Amino acid sequence: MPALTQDSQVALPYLTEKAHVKTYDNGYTFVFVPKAGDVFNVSTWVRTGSIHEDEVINGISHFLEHLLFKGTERFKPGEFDKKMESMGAIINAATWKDFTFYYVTGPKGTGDNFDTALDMHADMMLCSTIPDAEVGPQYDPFDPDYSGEKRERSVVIEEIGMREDQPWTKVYNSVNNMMYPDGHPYQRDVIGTRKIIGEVPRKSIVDYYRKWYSPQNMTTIVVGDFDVAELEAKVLKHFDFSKLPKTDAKPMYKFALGQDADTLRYEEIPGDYQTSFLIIGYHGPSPSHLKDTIALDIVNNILGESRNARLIQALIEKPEKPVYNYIGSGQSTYKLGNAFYIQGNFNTPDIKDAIEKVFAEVDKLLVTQPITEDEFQRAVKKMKVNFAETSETASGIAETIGECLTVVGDLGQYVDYLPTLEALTLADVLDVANRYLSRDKAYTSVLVANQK
Amino acid sequence: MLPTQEKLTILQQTLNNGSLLLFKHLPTAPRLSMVFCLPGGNVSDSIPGITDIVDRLLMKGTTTKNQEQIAIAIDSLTLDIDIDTKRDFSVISATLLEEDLEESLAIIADLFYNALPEKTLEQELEREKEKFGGEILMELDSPKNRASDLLSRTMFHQLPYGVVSSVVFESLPDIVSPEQVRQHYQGLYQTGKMVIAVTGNMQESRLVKALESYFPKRKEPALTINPAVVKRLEDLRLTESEYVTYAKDDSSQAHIFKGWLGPDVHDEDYYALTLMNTILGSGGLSSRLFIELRDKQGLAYNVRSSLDCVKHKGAFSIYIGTEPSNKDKCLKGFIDECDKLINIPVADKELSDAKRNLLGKRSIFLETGPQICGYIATNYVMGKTIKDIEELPARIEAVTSADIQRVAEKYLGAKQNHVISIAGPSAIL
Repeated sequence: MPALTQDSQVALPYLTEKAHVKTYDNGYTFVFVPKAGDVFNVSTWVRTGSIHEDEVINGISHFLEHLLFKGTERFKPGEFDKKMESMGAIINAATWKDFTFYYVTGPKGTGDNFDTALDMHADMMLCSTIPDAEVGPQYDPFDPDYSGEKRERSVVIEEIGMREDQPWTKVYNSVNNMMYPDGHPYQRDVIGTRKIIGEVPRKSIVDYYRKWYSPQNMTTIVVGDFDVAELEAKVLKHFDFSKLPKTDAKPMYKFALGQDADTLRYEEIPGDYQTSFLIIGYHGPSPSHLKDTIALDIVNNILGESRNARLIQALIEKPEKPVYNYIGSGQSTYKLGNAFYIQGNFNTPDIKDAIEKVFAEVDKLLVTQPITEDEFQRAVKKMKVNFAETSETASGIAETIGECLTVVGDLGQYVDYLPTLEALTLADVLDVANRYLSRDKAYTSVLVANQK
Repeated sequence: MLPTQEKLTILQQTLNNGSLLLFKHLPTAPRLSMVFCLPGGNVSDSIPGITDIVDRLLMKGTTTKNQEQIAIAIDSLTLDIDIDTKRDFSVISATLLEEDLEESLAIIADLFYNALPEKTLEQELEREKEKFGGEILMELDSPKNRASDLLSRTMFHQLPYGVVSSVVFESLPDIVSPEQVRQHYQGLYQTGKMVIAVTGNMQESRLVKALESYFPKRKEPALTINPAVVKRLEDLRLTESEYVTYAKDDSSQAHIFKGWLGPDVHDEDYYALTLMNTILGSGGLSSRLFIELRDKQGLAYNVRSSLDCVKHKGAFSIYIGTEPSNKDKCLKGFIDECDKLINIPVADKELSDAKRNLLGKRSIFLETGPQICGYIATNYVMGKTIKDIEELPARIEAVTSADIQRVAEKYLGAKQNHVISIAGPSAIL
């Protein structure tokens, strides 16, 4: 049994009981959030995603995520899915830039649903065999005559095809490509390319699995109605890393926070579409800089998120003829620096004018019509209520904690969110808006409607 | 053992305005959730999409506030409001903190009784049509959405359940009369047949008092749904199988839907069909389509089936997004899997697993106040009762493998006409 190195109890907003956060001498972290109700959630977050990939293995984190559902020594491929779903549980996983996570949300039921889920989930995380037959043979995905077997490799290539048919994904990838310098892991699409997925050998995937799925890179979170001592014993029994080969791989970040690419700032992508899709990206603060991150959330609420948001009012609601079909904004939390995006969809063939109108609204917010005290107070109130929503479901709580611990590195963003929000002033918010959203810091990409 | 009976402990009370209140006390819920369901929806459309336009105009101005003032009033409270148009009803969903109950109801009541004044319609009707049209074009820029849209409009022809985005887009120029739009609003937004579901931690007496005070009976006549339209929906049959396509040459995948008409939500076959759907393709990673077409053949990332039974009719469909050259293989896979359901009894273990899958997920999908409100209110407005909701687990448990075979033959059998809708490169269509 690993020894505890840290054991703390943390009060989380809108929850009646404190969360238990435990770290052990092998580096593994376990979090338990007591929550009454008929639903439990168990998830494990791994501190790897496309952040640890290069151009040779781009997409391997996500491919591995698929392959972890393909069996262990104890459970054959598909058995986990069948067993979990036959008790009414929802199972899935997700891979993003900084993390990969796997979860089971299930009904407590009257039997041993949770024990079974924990056992099989832990076995999958630690002991997946990644069978050759499930990975499928390597092949050239551009060869129209290929008639060999198609297995999970092809499933991921189909997922790439699905994303290629999503206009927002196309324009998002284009913006990322400009925002980060060549070689930066955030520049690449998390899913990888057809060529890499078609050709990456199984051995590379297994090596990657063994390198990163180690105790110091993993956090397991359980939300539900359990006794903490019993639960901890069960979790440590199933997450027994002692028989696994040791690896000291720790996240290493080659690039500085929000490092700029100082080349292209604007790109137009031709497309066979009836409307044009626009994304403007800006580098944001480090996610560990809670004050700036929340201040930028407030700017986001006022600029593009709330019902009365400035971009919505100015570009959709107030003009005699709406300029945009849709417009909104959002802040994404990334380990190497957050990103702030404005995204919009429009019909007009005058692309430059449509884009200029967005910049003009951002300029107003920064210079000519700064955020008012009323706007600021309304945004703060709305954000408090929005925050309550994440505490209503077992999966919502687990995801907030998982992202905090994996991306930011501690629970500060969750625990201190409300007090930090309440302590912010209008001046703080204006300062952040001016530091991050000036016109010269924007990267703009448009998927242009077919003008025929 | 799964519970076959469950008590929902929901208070039912008819308010003095004729509305039915369904209240579930949730002592630990951080927010109040409210859902106002108004019978009507697209089935009440005099012009396809007019209900959508009415619902969209609701927050564009009342006799007391313009659009911006409404938005500011909502943003000033802990209130969040969504308004949506469904095929059989419109729905206002709200979440709020208990402290804002009365002020929030005042805003919702203002939208309910005082929206769409002459001035607003003059200023906003054409703009809203323009906005709605733009949003539809954006939505239909996804080839998957285009194929889905084409499937429904073909299956339901000119009937209200076929009022999908492309149909609304074509009808928008016909919605020109402000008076017609206002009358539609006044006829729809009535308390008489409204169902209000509320969850949260508050005193029932305060809730009833507030609702009765803010929502009096309306003096304008209620809109009646054309019984001939309902009859045509109920009697609808596909007279032939159809193959419809949308060419998009830069599409990476072929987006393939195959659909059949099904029964309404009250039909006895509903329960067996629901289980059949779980087994075939809605049950998650262990469904037959997922295992056969995705896991074993690597044909797709996304493959699934859907059952959509509403008040007067239903539909069943299968979807796959695949590399275009796989089209024929996928269509054959659909036939093979349907044939298996028809010809081979579902094994006892697979059937019992599907029942537990379906019933177990209910507690996850009904974890929060908004989810519970939406579920009970929509069931009620479609004519179900608390008893029906409570008995659902027992009805699912009672389904046999012979029932699955029977409904598979009845709805998906070789004699049943179907629609295949594909969006993708023209070379494979």
